[in-house]
Amino acid sequence: MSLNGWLQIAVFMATLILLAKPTGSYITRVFERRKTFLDPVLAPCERLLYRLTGINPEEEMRWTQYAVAMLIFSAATMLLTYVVERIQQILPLNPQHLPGVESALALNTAISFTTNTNWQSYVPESTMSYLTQMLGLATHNFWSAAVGLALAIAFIRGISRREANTLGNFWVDLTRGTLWVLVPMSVVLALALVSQGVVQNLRPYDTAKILESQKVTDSHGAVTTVTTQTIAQGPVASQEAIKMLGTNGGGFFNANSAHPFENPTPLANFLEMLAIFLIPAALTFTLGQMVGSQKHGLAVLGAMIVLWFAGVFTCYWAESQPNPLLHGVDQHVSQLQAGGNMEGKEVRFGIANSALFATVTTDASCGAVNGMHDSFMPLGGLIPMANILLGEIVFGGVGAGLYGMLVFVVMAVFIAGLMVGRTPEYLGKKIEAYDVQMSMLYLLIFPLIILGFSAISVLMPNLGLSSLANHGPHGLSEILYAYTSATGNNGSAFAGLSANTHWYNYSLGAAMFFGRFMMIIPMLAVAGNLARKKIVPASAGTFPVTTPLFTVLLTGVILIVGALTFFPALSLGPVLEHLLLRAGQAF
Amino acid sequence: MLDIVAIFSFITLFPLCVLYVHGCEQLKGKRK
Repeated sequence: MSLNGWLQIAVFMATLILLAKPTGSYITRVFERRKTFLDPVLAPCERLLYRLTGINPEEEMRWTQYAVAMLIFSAATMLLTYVVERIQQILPLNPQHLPGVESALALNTAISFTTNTNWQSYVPESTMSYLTQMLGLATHNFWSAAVGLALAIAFIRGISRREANTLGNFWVDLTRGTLWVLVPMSVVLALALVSQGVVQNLRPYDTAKILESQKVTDSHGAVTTVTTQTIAQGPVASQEAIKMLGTNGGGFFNANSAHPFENPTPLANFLEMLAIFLIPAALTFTLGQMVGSQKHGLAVLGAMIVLWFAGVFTCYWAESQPNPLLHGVDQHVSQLQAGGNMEGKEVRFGIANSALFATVTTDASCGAVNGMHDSFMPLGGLIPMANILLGEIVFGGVGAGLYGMLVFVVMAVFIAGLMVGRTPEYLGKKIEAYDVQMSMLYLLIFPLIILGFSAISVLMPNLGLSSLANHGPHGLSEILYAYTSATGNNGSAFAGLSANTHWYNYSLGAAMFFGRFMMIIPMLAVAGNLARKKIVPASAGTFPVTTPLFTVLLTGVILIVGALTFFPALSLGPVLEHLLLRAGQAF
Repeated sequence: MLDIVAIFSFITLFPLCVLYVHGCEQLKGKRK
């Protein structure tokens, strides 16, 4: 670890905190339908959309109506993406004449982008046409993030409203989140990325003559001499911006943000990381403003910062360690080299920015990568996986992070109530049996999907092990990471597992689907139930949710739930691999 | 053949979710 590295990490967090409050205040204004500086341009567009679709923006929805509207919207857009993928060969904007996407892969990808996961079992530049990338995939980057944002706002309304049956209007929240928040921020970020050299065009791929011809042997043993290289390009910057801001993570290129056309400079890298965390961090201020307790928003933000720091510190430390199997190789930091474990990392970014990016992308539900998590040291790779396993509530995905964190808040308040022997209260709302049941349903579905599918994959060699490149604990980590990433709607991958098989396409598709919708519904049920309650005045026995003590309790509950649930699986994966690496064995 | 799996998924998964919404709401009713 170096001072330079820590300074970069500190500048990142300081910039994030500076930007989060004004962004959070702006989001509050947008969802409370107060005036903003973009109204002259966007308000007519909004009115036109409502008129065309026959939506009454004044109509309020109960939680069940809100959930069904969200499901209808997700089903319709998922179907659209599936169809576009299947028939892309007869649609325009396909200069490379790519064929239609195979059915299992098309279904997996449609689910993946609808659920904000962006798991990619394919090489984008050689599978998806420009139209599919823009109409089928980039649109979902906006929509799935806007759905998450709407759901978080609905949860906040559940806390702030008293004796109300409704949580707002899903269609209005979706529209305003897209038009006022995601589109303008994406335009600004896309232009900033173009200034750094990110590609944005609709040209066919270029062919370049390489300087030295290369002999390549294919799987049948035939040798061919390669003299040219195809340079893939396309509308990258526009997709890159929303890929980060919407915490989607699906790269235009297979190498994702390690590709120089997606992430060309250290400044572009800094902006991309900032974009991942900006809206989730801002939402803690929105929470504080909408519930009338800014200190509560800060207490939640505090827990997020503590968990983020623990992750980035451990990952940076682990990656700075020399690989014990490389005997006689100087791996220490010097003027000439980064030191530590540079396998799978971009030299443009080095260890500090790779560890920070890996932590940020998995704290949030983004899944973009600028280095290969599979090549991290065992404990370094443990951190991205553990971040997702905690539920991606450390800032988290756009909206999804906050509502996931608020479910943990309900549990923390419940546990505090048990400790002091009183009915738990959260900002004046009594937490009752139904709230805890639904919160527990939310928390239990997640490990059930991850551990269930991982166990089936390990126990059925023909299904789960046939496309696995590594054996031993590292192989288990690859399988566990895949289902963790899919269920957590993250989308990043440990390489080494070839997931484009029928088993993995369908089972990961199911994990993404259930990990999204089966968790959203109980969360909305909690919100709907909280909205109906009266506010009771705070008394001497009320556990305050605005103090550092609450931050400590919340952090503890998150760590204990995550640790108790997943520690056995992690022990057999990255922890065992770490111990065996120290003993001289690699996988 | 494979499109049938996708179509089957579309027509079963989302109605299953709507049923799940209904189940969560019913649970509240029963508690009352």
